[in-house]
Amino acid sequence: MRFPIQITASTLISSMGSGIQAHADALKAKQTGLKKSASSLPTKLDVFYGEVQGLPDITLPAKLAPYLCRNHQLAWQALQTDGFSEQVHRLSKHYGAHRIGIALGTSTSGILETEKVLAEKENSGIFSNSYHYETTHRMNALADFCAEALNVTGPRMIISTACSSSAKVFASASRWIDHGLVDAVIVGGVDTLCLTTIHGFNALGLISQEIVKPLDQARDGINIGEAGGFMLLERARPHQNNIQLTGFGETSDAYHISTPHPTGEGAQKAMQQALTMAGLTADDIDYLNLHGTGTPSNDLAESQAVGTVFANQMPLLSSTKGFTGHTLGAAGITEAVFCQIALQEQMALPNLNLKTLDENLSLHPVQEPQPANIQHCMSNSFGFGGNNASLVFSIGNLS
Amino acid sequence: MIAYIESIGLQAPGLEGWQNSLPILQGQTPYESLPLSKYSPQFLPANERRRTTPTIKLALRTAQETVQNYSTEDIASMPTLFCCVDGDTEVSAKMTHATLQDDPMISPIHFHNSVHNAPAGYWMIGQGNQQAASAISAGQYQIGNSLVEAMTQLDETHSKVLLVVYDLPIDPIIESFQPDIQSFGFGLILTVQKTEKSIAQLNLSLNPGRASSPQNNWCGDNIAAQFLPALKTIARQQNDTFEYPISEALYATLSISTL
Repeated sequence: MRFPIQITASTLISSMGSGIQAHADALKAKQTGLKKSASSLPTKLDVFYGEVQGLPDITLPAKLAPYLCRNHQLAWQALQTDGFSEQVHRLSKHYGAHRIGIALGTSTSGILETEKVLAEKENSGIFSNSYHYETTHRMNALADFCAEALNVTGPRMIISTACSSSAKVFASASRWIDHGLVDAVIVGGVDTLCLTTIHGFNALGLISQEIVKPLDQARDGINIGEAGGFMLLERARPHQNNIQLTGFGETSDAYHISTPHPTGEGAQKAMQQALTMAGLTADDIDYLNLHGTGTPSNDLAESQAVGTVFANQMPLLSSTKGFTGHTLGAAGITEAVFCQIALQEQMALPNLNLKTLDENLSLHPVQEPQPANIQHCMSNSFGFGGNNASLVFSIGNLS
Repeated sequence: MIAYIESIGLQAPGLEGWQNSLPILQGQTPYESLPLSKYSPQFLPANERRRTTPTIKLALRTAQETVQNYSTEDIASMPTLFCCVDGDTEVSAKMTHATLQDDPMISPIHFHNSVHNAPAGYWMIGQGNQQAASAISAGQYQIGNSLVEAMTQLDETHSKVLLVVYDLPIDPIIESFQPDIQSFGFGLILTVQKTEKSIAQLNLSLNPGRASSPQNNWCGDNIAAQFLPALKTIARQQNDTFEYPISEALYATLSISTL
């Protein structure tokens, strides 16, 4: 990155709550958002979910009516939180709407709408008139929705690389800014609960029957969560004390379509690349937010990779999936916001539900919110297809 | 932004292979829509190969043709960007249909394949490529934004990128509106510097205003096929300028100079 990128607005909604402060409070209080069963979705699997309450009741402005679906209801709510859309409007006036880009991640977009319309069709025999594939389920729908909701007209795309989606958007946004195509980019991602992912992960035997236990010896899979979050990225101005994206790494495992490389080779390279770009060494990272899904294979592979990269000295580290569940295409932005909170609050975030540390893992996570001097954070996001992304966020005076 | 095209792949009914299609693109032979020949990604292990779907195969055959004159090492070192508007709608249809059952049983293979980056995953595995791989969608603004995303990946340390843009008909189970779409995929190897292999120079700039993608009479309303007029220009060794919308109020001006 030729210039560090600063974060000038951010917002997040997950099962933990609404807004940055609610998440900071819940992290400090070790208050999980995971609950047994979901209330607003006819799931056919009674397990723990990170469900955002009240989504079906959220209404959209009339001009956005064709976009109505759970994914965009969550997106809309997040855009109205933490003054995010107001900040976008201010910037839009300043730079021009066409100078603000949109790069967002999602894994399943609004596929729940298609599930619902097919269920209706089973009963009625006809396709519902209110179903709009293009503005709900289609892979780019979230980007069009946010562009229209915010009235911005810069470059616009969805990255959909499974669970690394909303981490990779930071890399693309930085490049767009570096190349002078835009002055600011709205990054982030939204993924919401749907039967396809719940039963898809279940078919792979990756869903835990209990609350997720990242890094625990008895960990046996993920809880699925939903989240929507956004950040506004701009070129950093010198001598400003704010939170910046200072590095990113993107790699592939080239190993297996849904199983991580056993020694986390691609993950290692992603972390190394991000460090190199940030001009840092492993010792400089003060807190590491792991991908830490709670599946036996992910946590083991990630442990190997982290052990290699941080061979000299392990940073304070944790997986926060015990708070949110695995929010899939929104995991990258969720945990980017958690890094922002760690930097703002000068606190390493706790890893929940750990009873017996797995001796095969080299990781000793923070289990209580821990005050610490945190200048540089790293966040890992890995997805199906062996798709890896690592981000480095820093606070301070990077002139 | 400037980039150079080193290699082109083209896979569509009646346009199978860039070299084979040159007489058609040059206007010497009339276009005729003939089905694509059967394809099997031999570079994948047999168990992975069996799992590939028509969508994955279109992406892979396009990528494979585009890199055919490169060494194994070269192919394994190319960051790769796959662009598809809808993704694998056949797999989406099968999975969403499965959710209607009382005890939904989604095929693990369908679930693997459902991720938008499944072709990217198979490609990187098959080529032993540990570079960055991405999978994007920009809907009706696909071509302009795909070019932006690919060209901005090029810099002093990233000299090459493989761009694969492909679209297929949408499965009727998930979309009752069925525009006339035939499968279409094209691939480009883009470089930051002019090289001995360079075929054409691309110069892309963004301009405020509304523009429509260039008209194309082949392959129906396939969004990837909106790049056909640009490919015809290169095939005819001409220079031309095209406009591709980036949004409703911004467009890319793409100037192509054949080398």
